[in-house]
Formats: sequence, C-alpha cells, structure tokens
Amino acid sequence: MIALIRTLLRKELLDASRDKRSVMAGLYYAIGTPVLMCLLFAVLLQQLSSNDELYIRIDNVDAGPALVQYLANRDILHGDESKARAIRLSLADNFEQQMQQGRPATVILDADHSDDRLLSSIRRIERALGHYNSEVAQLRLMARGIDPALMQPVDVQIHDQATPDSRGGMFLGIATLTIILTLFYAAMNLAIDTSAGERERNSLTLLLSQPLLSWQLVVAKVLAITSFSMLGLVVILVVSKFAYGLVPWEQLGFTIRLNADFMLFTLLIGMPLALLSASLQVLVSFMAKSFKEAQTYVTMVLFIPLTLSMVTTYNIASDYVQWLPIAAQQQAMIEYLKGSALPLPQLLVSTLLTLLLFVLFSYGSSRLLKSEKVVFGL
Amino acid sequence: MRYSSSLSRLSKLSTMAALLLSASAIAEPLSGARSAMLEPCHAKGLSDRMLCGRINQPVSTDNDGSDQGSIGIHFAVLPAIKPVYPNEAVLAFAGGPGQSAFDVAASFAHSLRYARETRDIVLVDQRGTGRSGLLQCDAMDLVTQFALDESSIDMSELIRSEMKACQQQLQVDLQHYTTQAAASDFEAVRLALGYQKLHLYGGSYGTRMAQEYMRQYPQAVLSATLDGVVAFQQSFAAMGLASDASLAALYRDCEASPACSKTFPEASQQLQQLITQLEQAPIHTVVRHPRTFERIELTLTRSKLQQALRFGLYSNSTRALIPLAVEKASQGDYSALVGLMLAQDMVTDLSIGVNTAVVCVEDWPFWTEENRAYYSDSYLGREWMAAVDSICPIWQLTPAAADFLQPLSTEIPVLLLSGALDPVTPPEGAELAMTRMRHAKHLIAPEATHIVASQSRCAPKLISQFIAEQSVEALDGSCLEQPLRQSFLTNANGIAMPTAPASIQHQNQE
Amino acid sequence: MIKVTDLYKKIGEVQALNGLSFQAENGTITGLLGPNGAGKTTCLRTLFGLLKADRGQAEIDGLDIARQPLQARKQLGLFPDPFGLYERLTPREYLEFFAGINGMATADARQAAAKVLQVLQMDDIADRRCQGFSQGQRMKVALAQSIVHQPTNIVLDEPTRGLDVMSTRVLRELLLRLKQQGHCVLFSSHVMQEVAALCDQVVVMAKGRVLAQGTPAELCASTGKNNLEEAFIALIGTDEGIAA
Repeated sequence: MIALIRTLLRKELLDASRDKRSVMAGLYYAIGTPVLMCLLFAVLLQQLSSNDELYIRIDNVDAGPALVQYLANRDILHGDESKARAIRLSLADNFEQQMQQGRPATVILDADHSDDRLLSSIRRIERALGHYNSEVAQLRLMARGIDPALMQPVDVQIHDQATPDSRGGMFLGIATLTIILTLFYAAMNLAIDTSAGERERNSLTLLLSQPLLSWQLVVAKVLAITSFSMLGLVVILVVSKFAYGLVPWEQLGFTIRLNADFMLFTLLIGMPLALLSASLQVLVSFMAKSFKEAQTYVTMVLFIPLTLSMVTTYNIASDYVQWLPIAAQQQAMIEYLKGSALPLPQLLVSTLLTLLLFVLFSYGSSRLLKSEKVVFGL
Repeated sequence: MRYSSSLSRLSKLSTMAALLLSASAIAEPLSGARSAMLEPCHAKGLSDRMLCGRINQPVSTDNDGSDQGSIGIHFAVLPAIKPVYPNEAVLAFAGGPGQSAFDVAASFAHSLRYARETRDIVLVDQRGTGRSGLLQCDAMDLVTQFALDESSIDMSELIRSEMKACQQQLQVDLQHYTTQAAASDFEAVRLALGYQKLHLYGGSYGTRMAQEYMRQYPQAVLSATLDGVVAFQQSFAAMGLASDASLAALYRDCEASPACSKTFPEASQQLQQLITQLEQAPIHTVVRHPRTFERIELTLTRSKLQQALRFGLYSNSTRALIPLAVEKASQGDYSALVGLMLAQDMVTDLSIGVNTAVVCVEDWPFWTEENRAYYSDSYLGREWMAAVDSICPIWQLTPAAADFLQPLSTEIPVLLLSGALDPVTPPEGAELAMTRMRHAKHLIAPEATHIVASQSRCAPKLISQFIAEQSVEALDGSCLEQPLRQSFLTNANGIAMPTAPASIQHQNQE
Repeated sequence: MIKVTDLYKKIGEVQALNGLSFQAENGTITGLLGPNGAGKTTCLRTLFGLLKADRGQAEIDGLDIARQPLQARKQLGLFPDPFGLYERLTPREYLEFFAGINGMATADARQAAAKVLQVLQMDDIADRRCQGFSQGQRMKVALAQSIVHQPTNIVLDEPTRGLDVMSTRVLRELLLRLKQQGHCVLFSSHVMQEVAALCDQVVVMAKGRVLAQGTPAELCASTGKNNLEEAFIALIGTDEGIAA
C-alpha cells in the first residue's frame, strides 16, 4: 500500500514538476511577493521616518523668530508651496507681546489629521513645540529661582520590554502574512490541475479503474501539492530573508530578521497548514464541475485563510480566533520573530485542528471520488 | 567582594537553563555565550531595553601578586537595532572624571542613535563609578551650601577635613581608580562580550579614558570619536581659563545682539562690578529655597557667583539666562542667580573617589610653577588648584609615570569634535590631543557648548558616518555650523528677540 | 473471463441497464455491439466498479467487482475512450506508472513497460512526452497501458474510433495476438465492420439488455440474414446509431 502511494506520488510530482506554468505561477508568488513588499515597505518607511528635513508653511515668521529658529534647529523649516507639506503653522500677531507678558502665545497647527502621510510629521512638530514649551517654561522658573523639576511631580520612567526585533508591529504581520499565504497560493494552480484538470483530461476515470482506493489517490495528490507548497515556503523564506534584509528598518528603530531558526520553525508549523491547504483545494476543485469553475471556487475559498491572516496581521483577532488554524500559526511566527514567548496552547490546538481539517477534507475528497455524479459529472 | 561571580560555571549553566525555558526571551544579537551572563535592564530616561551584566576584575592591576580582592564591573549593552556588525560595538566613555556611563545612557543613546542602527552600544561603569562600586561621600546639602561663607573661613581646612572624613568612609586605595588602572576593565568587558573590535566614543573626561584605552589596547580599536577633548598634556586646571573665555564670548554675543544690548547696555560692567563688590565683602541675604520655597540664607560670595556662572555656561539654554541673572543680582534680586546655581546639581552623582584619583595621580603631580602661574590667571583655576593642593596630600598616592603626559600617538582614525563656546574643553584641547594622531580630523561646531553630539542634530550622523567609513577623509563638518545659541532672556518670561547673528543665519537657511 | 449476470442500473430517469447478462470467455474476442445509448459504456463502467449496479453482478475471473474491486481490477486492462493520457509524461513513464499501480515492483514495472513498448514498436516515441502525439501514437500508448500489467482480461471502449487505417491494423493484430495468448478480449463498438472482422462472439445489446449472443454466423443464421449488418438491424429493429 505504501508502495502504491509512493508510485502515485511519484507520478504526481513528476507530472506537476513538468507543469511549468503552474510551478512558475507559484514561484512568482514566492519570489515576487517579498520583493514587492520590500518596495512597498521602502516607500512606507520613507513616509514614516522623520529624520530628514521637514518643510512646512510657517506664517507670520516675524512674530516669533526665536520659535522659528528653534524649529529650524530641529530641521523643521519653512518651505514654499512646492516643497512644503500640507501643514501650516501660524504664529499669532501678538506672539511676542504675549511671551513677554508671560501669557500663552498662540500658535496654530493647521493640518488634516486624517491624512496618514502627514501624521508622523504632525507628531514631530507637536513634539518639537512641546519641547520648546518646556524649555521656555524651565528658563522662566529658573529666572525666578525655582527648580524646574517642580513641574514634574511624578518622574515617569518608561521601561519598554520591546526589543528591536519585537517592534516591527504591522510590518511583522504583513511579512508573516505573505509567508503563510504562500502555502495557499504557491500550489493553487497545481492543486486545481491535478484534480479538476485530471478529470477534464479524462485520466481520472482511467485511474479510478485501476486497483487502488480513492483515498490513496487523494493522499498522493495532497502530498504532491504539499511538497510544492513547502517548496514555495522555502523559496519565499529565503527570498524574504534577503529582501527584508535590504529594507532600512533600523531607521524606524526596529528590524525584521528571518534567521535559520525562524525558517525551520516556520517550515515545521507550516507543514500541517500545507496539508490543510492542499486537501482543501483538492476538495473544492473536485466539487466544481469544470476546471474554470474550480479556479473560481478555489479563489473564493482562499479568502478564508486570507481573512484569518489579515485579522492576525492587524491584530484584530478576537480571543477565539487566535485558536484557529492560520491565525495561531501566524501569531506564533510573529511571536517567534519578536523573540517573545510562543502561544503554545493556541499553536497546539490549532495544529491539531489543522490536521483534523486535513483528514476531513481528504476524506471528503475520497468520498467525492466514489460518487458517480462527481466522477462522471453526471 | 560583595558581588557574586556571574561568570562562575554554575551560574552560567543555570542562566542558560533559564534561557531555554523562556524560549529566546533574551534578545538574540548577542551570541549565546554573551547573553548567558546578561539580563534585561533599563537606565534612567531611556525606555529601550538594555542587557546588563557584571564581571569581576582584580582591584589591583599591578602584577605584584598582591591580592586585594576583586571589583564588580557593571556594564550594559544597548543592542543594535539591526546587528549588521555583530563582532563590533561602540564603547562609550562617560565624563567626570567619575560619571557613570550607565546613568547617562539616555544621552549616549541619543548621540549614538545612528551608530546604533547597526552596532551594539556598550556602556561600562568605570571602576569606582555608578554600579561599579561607586566611591562617593556625603555632600553638603543645599541649605548649608547656600549659607556657607567661603570668604570668611579657611576653605583649605574645610576641604581637608571633609576629605579626611571621606577617606575614613571609603577605606579604599585610590591608586587603583585612575584612568590607567581602569583601561583593563574596559578590555575585560570587550573580551567577555566577545567583540572583536570596538569603536570608541568619549565625551569630556571620557575622551581621555578613550585615548588611554587606545594607548593600551590599540589592536582592539577601529575608530575613536572624541567629543569635548581632554588632552594628556593639559591639566584640568585649564578649565578655569576656558570658562572665562566662554563667558567673555557670551557677553560679546550679548553686545552684538540688539535686544540684549538694548536691555542690558552695561552687561559686562555690571558683572565686573558685582565681582568686585563680592571680593570686598559677601552679600548676606535671604532667598527662597528653589524647591521647598522656604526662606533660606544665602551668603553670596565671589566663589558662588563664579561657580554659578561656570555651570550656567554649559548649556545654551542657561547661557541665555546669564545677563538677566547678573543684572538682577546687581540690583539686589538673587532669584535668577539661584536658578543658575541649580545647574550645579548635575555633579551630585560624580564619584569623588575616581575624581580624586585621576586628579591626584595623573594631573596634580605634574604641575610646574610655570603652568600654575598661567592657570592662576583665572579665578576658577586658582580656586580649583588650591582645593586640589589641599586634597591630594591626604591620599598619598603614587604619581603616574611622566610619560602619561605624552600625547597619544596612533594610526587609528580619530574624529575630534569641539564646541567653540565650550566652557571646559574648548577646541584648543583637541588641537593639543591630535598632534600625533595620523588619521585625525577636528571639527568645530561654532555655536555648540560642551559635548557637540548632544546638541547638534548633525553630529550623531557624522559619528555614524565616521564609524561606517572608519576614515575621516569624507567627513563634511559644515552642517555643524547650524545655529544653536538661544536668544537671551530679556525678562523673566522669555525671549524677546533672537540674537543678531542667529537671525542672520536663520535668513541664510531660508 | 468476464461474466455479467442480470445487471440493472438506473441513471437519472433512464434505465441504462435492464437485466443485462452475457459472458466473455478467455481466448475469445467478444464484441459488445449496440447503438448509441444502448448501455455499452454503462456496462463497462459497471464492470470496473466505477458504477454500482442496482441489481445483479459482474464477475472478473470469478471475482465479484462489487465485493473485491481491487483484486478484480488487477485482472482487467482498460483501453478507455477517450484515452486519458498524461501529456507531460513520456509513454515509458506512463506505462511504468500503470504497471506500478497494478502492483508491480519498480524493476518489474520497468521491464514490463520496455517489453510492451517493444511489442507495439513504440521505441521511437517511448521517451518523448505525449504532448503532440498523433492520434495513432496516442492509441498505441493507450493500448500499451491496457496490457502493460498483463491482465487476463482486456476491455476496449470503442477502440477504433477516429483511427487511421494503419492504427486500426496495429490494433487488430494485437487483439488477435492476445486472443491467441488466451486472453479474454471484450470490446464495445458501434462499428459493424470491426465487429464482423474481429469478433468470435458478438453480444448485441440495446436499451440495457442483450438481444442476442453468438458467433457472427450464428447471428446471421438465427435472423435468417446473410450478413451481420442485416442481422443486427433485424435484431434491434432499426439501424439508428449504427455505423457500417
């Protein structure tokens, strides 16, 4: 029986490996996604990092030259329309008099806070103004012989337990999302080809006329698809390692490093997911009446892993979602990258669930292959 | 010693067992062997998690076989954000002498933030400072300090008796707490952490420590950035002259500023008059305690005035307060001056032991009549030399060998940074220090005071570029010309107008 | 030997098999002749256990396909219609695969494939991928597949459909050789000439049941016609769905 499955598997692998189009489609995903993500991240980082000179519009510069100079020292500069971001800082006409009289001098920070691209710049200006406030206030107190420390009754010391590896936040989520979805997208074409395609090319009936059981056929197909998903996983891990290594994360104070340990860990927890993915896609493909239909259905069904992965990525998963396949595995990957403790109970339960689903889906497929309706499309 | 050995095999094993359980909870840039003896820690004002450790070093660094016990050297690693160069680190030396590097971690983290993107930052508390067995004695409280009349009592006697009490309290041989003695601790930390090469960053006295480390372990150093340079050839007594020069520059700036010269037309005369008045007789008055708001006695002496000004000169923001404080004081209102006196608070955590050891072994023995006379031109220099003359004989320390005063001769690339307004380590110090450095560049920030990297926005970038290139060739210091001076306070509320030069530069930028 | 006894199968509303019984002996070529829609394909699918009969049974060498499908299928070779080739495999790989899933060890499978390739004179195409093969070459591959595991019974579903003259000859020769070797050959066809030329036994069926069985001569005799075609028309009452 093992020999039989091995024979079936060998044929599936041989056949699939010669299906250049499907294999390449999977590899394009595995190679292309990290590269695309890299470019995307690089652009995003550019917007998020605020180390460079920031040009905004400053109105009424003459009303408070000291403040303007203070901002200029922090690379917040007045620029003309073409250069400046859509942020306007207006100094009140009586800025100087108010200052001299010890009354609050008004500065208007005018910007659209819903514009995400401006947020980090706005915060930077707010921070700079805050520092200016406290510096002037400190000097005012010192000029009166009062210890400025009095303004700070409570000295709040922040002890951040985060490490450069754990600060990636959403970026870690997206990186792991693309990696985990490889298991679903890398072998999608192969899965459809080997099931719906097999039937469409009339070789399915011939196969079923041979002395084998339908579950053996299903297992061989699932294993073959799994092999290619895992290959895709290996490829995307390697490509990601190098691609993400090129992104200057450190400018934002964190890093994303995919080391060998992480890769092994991902391959380990990815294996059950690959089985789930393969068995799910085979089942859906067999349920469809034609190749084209199978493509549509599989694409639709893959919204489920995508959704599970998305809620994990954006950290909006409710408590029980964290026990589900994909979500738990991805969370474990994120925690591994962060270097924090793994959600072991969730990972364990989800892995068992994953394997259970794999068995159920495979069983479902083998049931379908016993159905006259499905095999002959009656 | 009181520190248990974290390097003993048993504790190393148990730490590693704990590591396995917590599933890589400890950040990974450090290799297993390195992280085995480290645990997470945080420094004041710095939220980032560091990894702290301790190694035991023999107290005596002479190879005379005498066992005088060991001292725990505390160190912290601020992990690189992206450890591209895991075998290199930036080792930062604190000032003082006697400052704890760990205590000022936040400042180093800021100055070295770009360098940290790819390399670990290592902070070592020099022996006798901070967590490496701080040698500190009780300091005078503020009320006593304010009331003290330095002019009427014998200051030498007071200093001597205080120091003797301190000596009793510390019970330690300061001979082992000098710059030369401490260098091997830094090397031991490097080896314990497994770094192959180091980039050095030293500020103020830390530049001398860094130079000494380069002198003793040149093979371990790839580059050195010296910020606010203390040359071997120069006595700390020179800081009196530096402080005077910095104060003179401040009054020149005030004169050049329309707002300042209009508000304080007689500024420098006022200061001279106040000094002359205090020299004749101190002023006894009552002021508000800066924190409790109680009325307390203040005996304003020349010493207090000059110390207040000296510390006020350290930062551009307190500099802006000086003409106002002096004018108010000459009019009988001492509150702004009290505000300036607060700036001295920053010295409270200094290690008196290390400070004394460094001065009495590596500085005081080399004073000649000639340079005594030269440094005596400044009141602060005179005052300081008198204090040192009282202190050093108490400890009976063996002077360093005469060649300690030789400037460092090195092939290692060195970047020297100076602030033109620096009241302690002006650019001249760097010029002296670099005479035998063959790959050195001295960059001066015209408006910076003490420690350029903590003021200029571009200095941290320059440092990072220098560390990356390990060459001073391509460094362009023009960005250091950024305006840093702040407008003088013209009343107790603030800043009326920017200083004239600043405003011109501001226009240039536009 | 293939024996079908009283098979009933309803597909949808159609009674596809309606008490079908016949027997195909070893060393004999048996033709299953019937018009389109007579139930030939349903019959063959039931033979392989792909369809479950509502009633009745099909036996292969005495093995009930419903009860012992794996053993029974090992005794069967199928020449399907359409062929169901794997375009990306070479004939040799294809044959080794089918030999393998019929229980041959790898070495044996390799040997069996090589032998069949030689018998069918396919050495020139043995290691080319099936993609782009001519209809004749495809037929050969399918044929080779049906016999590579040396089954006692070979079932051919409409084997001559779309074949050129040369291919038909190859097929014919092979079937005759199989017959000589004592195999049981059963083929379904709606082509009169094929059946007449090859078959020792003809089973005429329509509407899911056997109308007559016998040698072509016996059929002619029983219907009183002098050729099979006439006999056939007489048997099923129409010539609809039959090719000459």
